[in-house]
Amino acid sequence: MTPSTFRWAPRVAGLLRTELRAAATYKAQLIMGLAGAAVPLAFLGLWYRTAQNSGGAVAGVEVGKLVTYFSVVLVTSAIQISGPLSQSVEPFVHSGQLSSLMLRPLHPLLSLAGRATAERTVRAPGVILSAPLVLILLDGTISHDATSWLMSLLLAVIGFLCLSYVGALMGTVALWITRSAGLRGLLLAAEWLLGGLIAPPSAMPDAFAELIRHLPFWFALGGPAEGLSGTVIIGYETLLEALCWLVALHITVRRVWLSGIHRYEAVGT
Amino acid sequence: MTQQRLGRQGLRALTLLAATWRADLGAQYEYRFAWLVGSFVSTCWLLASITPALLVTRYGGIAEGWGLSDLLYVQAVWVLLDAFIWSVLTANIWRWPDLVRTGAMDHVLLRPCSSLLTASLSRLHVPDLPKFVLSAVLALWALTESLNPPSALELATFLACLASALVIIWALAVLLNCGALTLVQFDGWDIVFATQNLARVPTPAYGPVLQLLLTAVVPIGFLTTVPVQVLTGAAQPWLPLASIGIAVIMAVAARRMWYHQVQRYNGAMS
Repeated sequence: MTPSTFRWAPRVAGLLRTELRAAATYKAQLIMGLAGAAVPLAFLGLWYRTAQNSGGAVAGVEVGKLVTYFSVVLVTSAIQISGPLSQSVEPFVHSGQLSSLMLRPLHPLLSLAGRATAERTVRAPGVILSAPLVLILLDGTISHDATSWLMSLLLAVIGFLCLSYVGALMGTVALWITRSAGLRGLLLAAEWLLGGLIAPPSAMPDAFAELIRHLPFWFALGGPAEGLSGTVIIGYETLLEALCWLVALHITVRRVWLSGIHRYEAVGT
Repeated sequence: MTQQRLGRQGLRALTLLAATWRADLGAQYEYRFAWLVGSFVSTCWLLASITPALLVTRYGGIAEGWGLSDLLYVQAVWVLLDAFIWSVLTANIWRWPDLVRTGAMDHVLLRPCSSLLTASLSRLHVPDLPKFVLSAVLALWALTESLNPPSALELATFLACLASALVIIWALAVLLNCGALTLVQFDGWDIVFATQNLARVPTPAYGPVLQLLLTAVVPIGFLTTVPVQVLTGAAQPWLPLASIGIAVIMAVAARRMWYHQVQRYNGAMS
């Protein structure tokens, strides 16, 4: 008898396979995904020019490190599923289709996360491949320390999960509010401001930079970028903090979902 | 005769637009909480938009001639474009695939006025309307930071360039999405948003080569950079004319592409 802990693994694999096939039918997404590079590239241009204008560095961060920072942010922002996940809950709630999702042997949020992951998997390659190109063309300097790489990668994985939970939390608002699309705009604004998408935290006021380095947005977006560029050293305490956030978010999402699903009338609104 | 008919159709379209906008305002008045939420979210987004401009100015700015007021002007124009996209364009053009699938596009095309104008401009997403106000507030802030307020001629030319920018983004949205009339799945919004996002930053920040590309080849520079340069008196005299010319060309192209797709449209499908 397979332990219940591992029974979900083939289900998740099956879900991802199905959703990937569905997402890949629209081939234009492979090219459309490149459009996702616009925002990090725009801010890279802004900060690159500012650094060149002020003697080759901004707040002690050299041009090369800035290039690496935004190249990594290009990748980390392209793979996040928080946005699509938070947007996908409302249509299912209001059409009553959430009931059919609840009949599956998988948590509805996991089903929606699988769909969002498949969509990102199809759209992200173009953006991810352009990151090394940007690094080479603009002479980015990357950390050569293997520990830095490992820590940044681990932080990226934990941060991805944390931000996905945040997206799921924003999505469950649809179980309470009829029109919740506006609130989800806050999630994106928070990612930009608190995740380090618009500026490296080193360029922000010290107190604000210190604050955002303890938030899940930074763990997912700017943290790996600062680690790989060598701007900040990612230590074990940062990983532990991210894990604590992950556990707290898991418990919160679980409680909020259960509370919201008790209100769900299964016939749509 | 054709011009008279076009003029009458245009007038009917404008009357219809005014009526549908009034109806949308009235209908969404029931969701006043959504207005509040929309205003709050828009303000948060404004903060996210202006933060880079405030930060780069601390470190010397991007180049000579691009101080805080210029960067704030760019953000004000960008927020205005954003308001137009989210309150008007997405409220209409985003619905085209659903209208085609449900057959409701037939009702739009059968109206006795310009189908392009009614299909692309008739609906309003009211919660995003406060962005127009935020844009004006940002422009006023930029004006207070500016050492040289614009003259009347610069202001008039700026308004013409701004109108051109709105026409350019409208035409781009139509061109990139009218394929939805004839294809099963067609969505060009990623490119529209990418174009809009690249316009967040003045094109000189991209370097000389990309600046030329983003002005001469892909008219992203005409969305925010050129109007602001006109306002601050830093633009070359031919740029406003080029802006208007590009807007006219793109509007004509959008109109032609729309009617080309309408001719191939099959009617109500499920």
